[in-house]
Amino acid sequence: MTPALRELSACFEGIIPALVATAAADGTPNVSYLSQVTLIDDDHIGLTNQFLTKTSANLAENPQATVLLVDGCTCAQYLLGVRYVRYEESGALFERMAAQIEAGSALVGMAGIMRLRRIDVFRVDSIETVPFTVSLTDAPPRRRASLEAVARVVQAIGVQADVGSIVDATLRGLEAELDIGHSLILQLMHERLVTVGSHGYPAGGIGSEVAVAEGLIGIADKSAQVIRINELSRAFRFSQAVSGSADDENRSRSIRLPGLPDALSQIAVPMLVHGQVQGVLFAESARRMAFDRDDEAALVLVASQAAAAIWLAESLVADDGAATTPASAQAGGGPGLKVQYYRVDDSIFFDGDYVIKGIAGRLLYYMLEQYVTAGTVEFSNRALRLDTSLRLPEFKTNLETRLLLLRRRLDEKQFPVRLIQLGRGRLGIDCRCTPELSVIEG
Amino acid sequence: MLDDRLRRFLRGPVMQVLCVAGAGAPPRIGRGMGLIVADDRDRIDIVISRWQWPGACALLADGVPLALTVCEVRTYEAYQLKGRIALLRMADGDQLDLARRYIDETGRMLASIGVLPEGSGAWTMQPDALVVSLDVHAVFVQTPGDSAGKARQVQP
Repeated sequence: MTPALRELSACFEGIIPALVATAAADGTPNVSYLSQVTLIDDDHIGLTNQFLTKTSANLAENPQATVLLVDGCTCAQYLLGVRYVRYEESGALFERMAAQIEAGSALVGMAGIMRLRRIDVFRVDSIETVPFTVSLTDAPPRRRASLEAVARVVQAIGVQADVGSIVDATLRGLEAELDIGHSLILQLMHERLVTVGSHGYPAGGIGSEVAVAEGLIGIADKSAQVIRINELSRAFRFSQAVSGSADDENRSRSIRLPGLPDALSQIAVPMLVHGQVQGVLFAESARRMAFDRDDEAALVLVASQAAAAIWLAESLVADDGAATTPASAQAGGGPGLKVQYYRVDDSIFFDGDYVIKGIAGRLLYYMLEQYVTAGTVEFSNRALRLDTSLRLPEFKTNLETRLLLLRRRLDEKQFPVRLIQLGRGRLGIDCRCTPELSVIEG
Repeated sequence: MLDDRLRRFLRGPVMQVLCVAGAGAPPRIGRGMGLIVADDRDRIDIVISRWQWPGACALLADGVPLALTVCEVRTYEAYQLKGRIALLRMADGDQLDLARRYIDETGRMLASIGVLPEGSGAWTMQPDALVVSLDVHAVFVQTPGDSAGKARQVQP
């Protein structure tokens, strides 16, 4: 039986490369590998064109071609009789494919080499299944994303009022409703993407950073496109699997991004508000082909809801909370804790262990200083925002999100200093130690 | 056309895809299942299953132009060999054995880098194979990069 084009979805994941065969007017054939074939609609496919000079010349003379597709799960092969229709050098389809190719080539160490020149669009006239002698199956199929399940996640996010609860509802909802067990939320802060929520990893990695345009997550941010890779190369997985240690963290003053050492599939979804990327929702799996087009659509919906909810929570908190800091207590009690604050990058160390840096580090030191000098144990977001000594950005401070990542970092590392959410726009500091503050200049 | 380096490459676990075009018909594709590379001339014998690739096999005939793309998936090194069919015949026992060894070796390599599921047995061989002798007239680089599409220079 001839399959419909849409039934070949596993062939469009780029796991096993496709090929295109063309012929010149004199019958001289040509066959070339393709980095990506994409389904456009029920009758059309798009082929990415990076190095296909001869293919392009042949199509100008003879628009008939044959494409060999391979199913990434079963290895079943299909021959498509196609006819060249047009090419695209810009537009939504082009941008999406260009970002996908950029990410894919970066993962195999060919960043910048496999740049998309254009997409050739073909009408599919026939589909033949290449005869097969064995039936091949991958691991048992994962639960598919249903609209009802997505609605439950979106609804759970919608009832949350603070950033922490929104992040938790999103990541837990992905596992409970969509069977996505390993996920991260990163938010854009000062041109870095910072992990503010993680789910399913032994080390949470709160506060870990990704540079814009770096790796799958960074490219999703830069391009504002969903990036989906369903077969990670072993070389890439190895490079990802190099484990960090506490010593490395203390030396590098950077927190390792959580990751599955045996991930085969990853997806990074930009979190958009008003057309601007605010962060990235990332998920991964040790299964091949874990994320299909339906999963992508589900994650886009969830990421959109989470992005809007975080934005709203930040905006509401900005106008909320008292400007004063009413509660105070006698500082001290418990064993001494050497707190070193490096002004050069606002990094903080507790007894030599790296805690955090940047604005979150500045905020932590400020609160510790207030606690030690004035016994202040309760802070309002508004007061923090108005205090010019903190040098917070004037526009879009992400204060709520920064405090969330600080609070979770302290919890994750089980430091004797913790932050407690006391209500919307208010938090308390809980010191089970006697902080001994020192500032290191330069 | 074929120097020692290219001969060594062709004898490795490379993916082999041939293409042949008929008058007024779309070009057809078939996968090779083993190559025999001559040492003394620019000729390659390609084993192909008639059962799996009837469209391409129907167009194979003496003197017909043929393109063969070969790729090492671990390194992305790839070449396209173009020429004409010199001879077409049924595969004998030795050639079928060669094809089985190729399938085993390449399948293991693909599984080792995660391209095929481990132990999938994704490819099989039917005893109906043809052997296509290709006289190579030109070799083009298909490795991604600046040289892609250019004629490969013979190495001394």
